[in-house]
Amino acid sequence: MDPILGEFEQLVLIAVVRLGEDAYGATIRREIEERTARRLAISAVYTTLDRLEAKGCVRSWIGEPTATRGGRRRKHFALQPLGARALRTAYRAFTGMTAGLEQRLKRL
Amino acid sequence: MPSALERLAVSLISFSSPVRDREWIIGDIEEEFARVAGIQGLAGARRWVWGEAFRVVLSSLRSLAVRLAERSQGDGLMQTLLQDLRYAIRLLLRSPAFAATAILILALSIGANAAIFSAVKGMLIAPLPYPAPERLVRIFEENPTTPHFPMAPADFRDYRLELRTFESIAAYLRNDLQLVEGDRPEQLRGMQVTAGFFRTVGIAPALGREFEPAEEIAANGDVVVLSHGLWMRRFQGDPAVIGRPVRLSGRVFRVVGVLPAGFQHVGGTYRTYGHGEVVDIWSVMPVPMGEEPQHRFSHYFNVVGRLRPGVSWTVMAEDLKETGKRVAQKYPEPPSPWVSRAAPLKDEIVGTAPSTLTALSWTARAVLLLACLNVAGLLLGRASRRTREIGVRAALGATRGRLALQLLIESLVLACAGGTAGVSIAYAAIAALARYGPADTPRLQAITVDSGVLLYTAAATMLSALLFGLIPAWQLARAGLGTALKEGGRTVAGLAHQRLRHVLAGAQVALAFVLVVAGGLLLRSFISVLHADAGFSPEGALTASLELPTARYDTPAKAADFFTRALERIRALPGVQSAAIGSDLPWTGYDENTGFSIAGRQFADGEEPEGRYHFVTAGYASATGIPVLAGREISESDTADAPMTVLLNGGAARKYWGSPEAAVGARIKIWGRERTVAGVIGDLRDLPWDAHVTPAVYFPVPQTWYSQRMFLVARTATAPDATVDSIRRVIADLDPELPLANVKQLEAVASAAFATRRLTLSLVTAFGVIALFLAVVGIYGLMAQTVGQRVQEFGVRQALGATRWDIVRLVLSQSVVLTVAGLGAGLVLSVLSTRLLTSLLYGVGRADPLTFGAVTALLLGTSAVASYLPARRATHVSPATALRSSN
Repeated sequence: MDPILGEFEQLVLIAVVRLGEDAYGATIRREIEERTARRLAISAVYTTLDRLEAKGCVRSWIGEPTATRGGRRRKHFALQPLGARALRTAYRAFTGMTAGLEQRLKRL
Repeated sequence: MPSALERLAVSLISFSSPVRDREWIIGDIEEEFARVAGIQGLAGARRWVWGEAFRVVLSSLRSLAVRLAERSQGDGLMQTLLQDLRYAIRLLLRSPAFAATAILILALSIGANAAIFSAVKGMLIAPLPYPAPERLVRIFEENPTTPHFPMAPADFRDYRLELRTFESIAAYLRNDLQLVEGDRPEQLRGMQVTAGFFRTVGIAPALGREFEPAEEIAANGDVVVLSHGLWMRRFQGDPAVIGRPVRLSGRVFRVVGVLPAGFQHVGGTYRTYGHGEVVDIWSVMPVPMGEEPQHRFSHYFNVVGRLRPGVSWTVMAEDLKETGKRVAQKYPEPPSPWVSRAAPLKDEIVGTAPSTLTALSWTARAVLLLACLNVAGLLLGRASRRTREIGVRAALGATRGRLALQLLIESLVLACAGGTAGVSIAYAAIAALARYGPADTPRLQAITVDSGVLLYTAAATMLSALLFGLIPAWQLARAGLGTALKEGGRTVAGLAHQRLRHVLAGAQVALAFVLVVAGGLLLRSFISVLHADAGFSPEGALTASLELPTARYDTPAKAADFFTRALERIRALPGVQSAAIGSDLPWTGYDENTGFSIAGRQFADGEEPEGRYHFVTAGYASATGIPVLAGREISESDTADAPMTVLLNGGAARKYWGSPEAAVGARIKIWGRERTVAGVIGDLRDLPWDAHVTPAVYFPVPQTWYSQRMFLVARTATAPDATVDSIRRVIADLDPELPLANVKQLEAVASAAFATRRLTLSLVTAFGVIALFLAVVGIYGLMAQTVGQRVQEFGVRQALGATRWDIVRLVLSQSVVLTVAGLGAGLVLSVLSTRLLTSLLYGVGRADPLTFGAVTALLLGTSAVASYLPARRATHVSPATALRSSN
């Protein structure tokens, strides 16, 4: 049974899809903030990513330390097949529910 | 992160983030900070990072609350605790006045302790900002009469070659230079150092190199190393600055290196900038190669050394002794009296701070203890009023232990709120210290609220919670719960509470006594010091420093000529009453000494006359306000051709001639020339509270002088500041490349000597005031409650014929007992604890009867008033009303 994604989990996964190889905490957060006009705490992003990884929806790997980050390493994330399926399910559910209601929803 | 403020935000974020993700979270924050700074500038980035900290903390608190809410359903211990926590928070929110009072009291006390701990940590515990700082050592020379002296140049040279236990040693001395670029000359703060100084300290230049041994020969020494700050400020951070010529003090130097940002000079007390003070420019200290006598007799090399790894102190001391013996053999007759001694660098930097900090630490702890007792009293008072609630809960099955736990958790919540607020108070206090505190506070830059301080604050918070929480909780656990259900105030539990509150109030009186006595003793000391005869007149005089560059003023005659012409014009300015130039200002730590001999007298070995020497122009005594005790002061007639004269101070005259009058006309020999004592002027102490006076000798500048920084003193009839510009113009007219630097009122110079004492006094007095306030309010609260519970009794008494005054007397007698008991305990504690203050006292004994008497009267008076007010209120209720009231 594919995992059911919460609302924020969906946003994070979509950001991972969009960013591709460039997906790590800072970029994912920036992407969501810019596209949804929400202010997020960076810790909330990582908590969600950890949860998604525990569910098997993403995998992570540690990158090299860089000078701009004060010599700290970066944790990258990539979509897993399970996550892809869960996201597709969520997308289909959303589009299924909103089919034909786009105009009405925009004017709400 | 650019500043401490941002680092605090990042610490908050780090602390509130899950441990496993901290590394990448902080990395992301740094990355994002740089990105936002690039778009919105530093201010925008600062706003962003603090917004981020706020969001992260809020997010972590929210998830914590969710987890707690989930977990608090159920019956286990965890659930119990969490339920109690929620209940405690709700209860406190329902009595906001009580909660606010308790939290404020705790915040002030915990905050004060945290602030003082930051100072202790930064000054005494934190390591110095150099690699392996425990291996850095200062080397002095000393003889039987003179401890702690700088080294002589030839001694330094030989020690440098012969010492075996040191990686390297280096010497340093203050040497300001004037940068002339553009229209206005700038006086740069400079140090001269020998080759290898930076390597010894452990810091490599960021650009270029440091000085090489070949450059220690005066002819090759035209090289400088820039500080990072100077490089950015005057050289635009240009990496091509290496090799560039720069004109300083009339000579051309070449830049060979630039230091990294944040480098701090090691400091010291003799002719050097202090540790942490800005040094703009570094030049080479010439090390003389020959064997002239003055290379052994003239001591002016400050020496710092780095021990080899693994060398113990005793091995090093042995090495110093052996090397000293070899060096002594090279002295010309008489044989050298000097031995060398080492001291850890940190000790010298920290100075007398430990004793002051110890006194302050104990004062702050006493205030915290008092605050805890006060809050315990408040909680007991509250517990008395909650007897019915407690009785109901007991009837519903709560055990004694369970109820006590509930009270403890309430205390914990109060303490945590107080501790958190206390951290902000500590932070503000440290910022205030940095901004308004004494300029010579050692290691100010190391005093911050960091994780160590936060840990200490957390521990203090927990301890306080236990201290004031255990008392009511224990009281509750002991009392019979059945009695709690009874109505009326005079239950067994109520009486026990009363007795305990009396004890607590008495203890608070004792602590307040100790603290107010400490404040009183320091206040009297400070007033004594202020009123002690300074020896000069600080008011209404202006000072400034002048450093004549040796390139253009290479003979004493040229310098004397410049001073004479400058003073002529300055004295002619409107508003200037008198003006003179001297080698130093009072109370600034000037410490140049020389020996001399007195014609016709012999002295035993080790007792030859010696004293401080100063160079002054005519009229120095009148300009500075030093009285002439006998003879005359230096005048216009003491020119280079006139007979050689000197002045003595009263201390020298009395020590060697018995009285100032007897010394006038005496002939003494200094530096190979015979001189007549023309007069004796008043004494100046090194520091305002020094007990003894050092003998001193004053040379007239035209007759004897060597190139050094000099100070102008101009006494003005009008406000001193108005004359500054005119004086600057006079100097600029005579020499456009000569800056007038460090313009200060003489009063400010004098006042700066008191700065640390003033701060200590202010802090202890503030603590004393807080302590007095808490103790008196504690008594008031207790008496109010006592009276409230005895309203019926008073009604009966009054109905039976007692007067108002009888009732008041009844109440007062109760409080007098507790006050007197508290005073007694306080007296004993005071006598024991004022020992901590002895180094800070002046002109007053540590068991001073006047202070003790005054504080006793103060406490008796205030507690009498605090008890009288509730008593008076009680007697204004009519007996009938009182009898009808139920408690």
